[in-house]
Amino acid sequence: MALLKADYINHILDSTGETLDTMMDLKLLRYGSLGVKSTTFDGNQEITSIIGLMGKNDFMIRLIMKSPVTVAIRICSEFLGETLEELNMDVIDAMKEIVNIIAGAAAAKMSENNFLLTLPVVLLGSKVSYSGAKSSSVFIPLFVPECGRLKLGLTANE
Amino acid sequence: MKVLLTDDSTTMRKIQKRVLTSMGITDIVEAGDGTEAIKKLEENNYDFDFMLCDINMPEMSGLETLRKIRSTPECAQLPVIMCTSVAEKEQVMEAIKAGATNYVVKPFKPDDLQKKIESVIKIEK
Repeated sequence: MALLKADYINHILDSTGETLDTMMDLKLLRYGSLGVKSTTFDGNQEITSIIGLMGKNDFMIRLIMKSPVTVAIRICSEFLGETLEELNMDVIDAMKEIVNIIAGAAAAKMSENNFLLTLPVVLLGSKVSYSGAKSSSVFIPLFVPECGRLKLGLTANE
Repeated sequence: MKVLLTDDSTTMRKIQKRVLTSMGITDIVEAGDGTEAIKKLEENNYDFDFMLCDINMPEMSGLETLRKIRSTPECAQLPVIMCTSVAEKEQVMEAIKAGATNYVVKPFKPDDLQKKIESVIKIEK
């Protein structure tokens, strides 16, 4: 059963671009092809922000934003309007808020599904992996010229 | 001008504070949820010019907070701008029915928030 519809992916991707554009004046670009496996960024500490969109009958999409810490710090600096020099609670809180806003915007685009949002969580480390029962998952390589590369991951399960 | 800023997200409070500061508003009292906001109102003798309030908060939600404010004579007329995500459209309608002065939807541009605040300040003048 295909759980992760193309519509879900497109709406979440659009919401990510709109959030970065609206709140940070950053442009989001695609690079490379959409993948179905998690990959890591060599040699960098990574930060992973995760939020769930809960639908009916235990259906849930997990939205995962993953980037090197250096990229996350640059994005959060733009978000907060202040220069952040290192990974701290400001960065972690901001990454939670960013995925929360993206998921909220995406849920509104898919209002017929009545998605509810879970609390966002942030994980640190370069070997974070994800799984979902009967899952379908994609990772979309993205590029923000002012900040660097990141990946948007989506997994779904019932 | 004195403002009560209520949001459980420290990040959103920082972003909103930056907008307020850029408008020359520096007398800002912060609260992390509705319960704390009501406490701050009482502690400050309800002496605020307006309030920015998130809808989705733990303890006491923005809607409950707004209803409490509107039912308290000392602050029933306090202008309140609700801050919400686009996924909470129904709650926005509820907030308007409950007496919200205006609302701003996340994601928002700093300019959008500034315009909403200016509209409230204009009403006040």
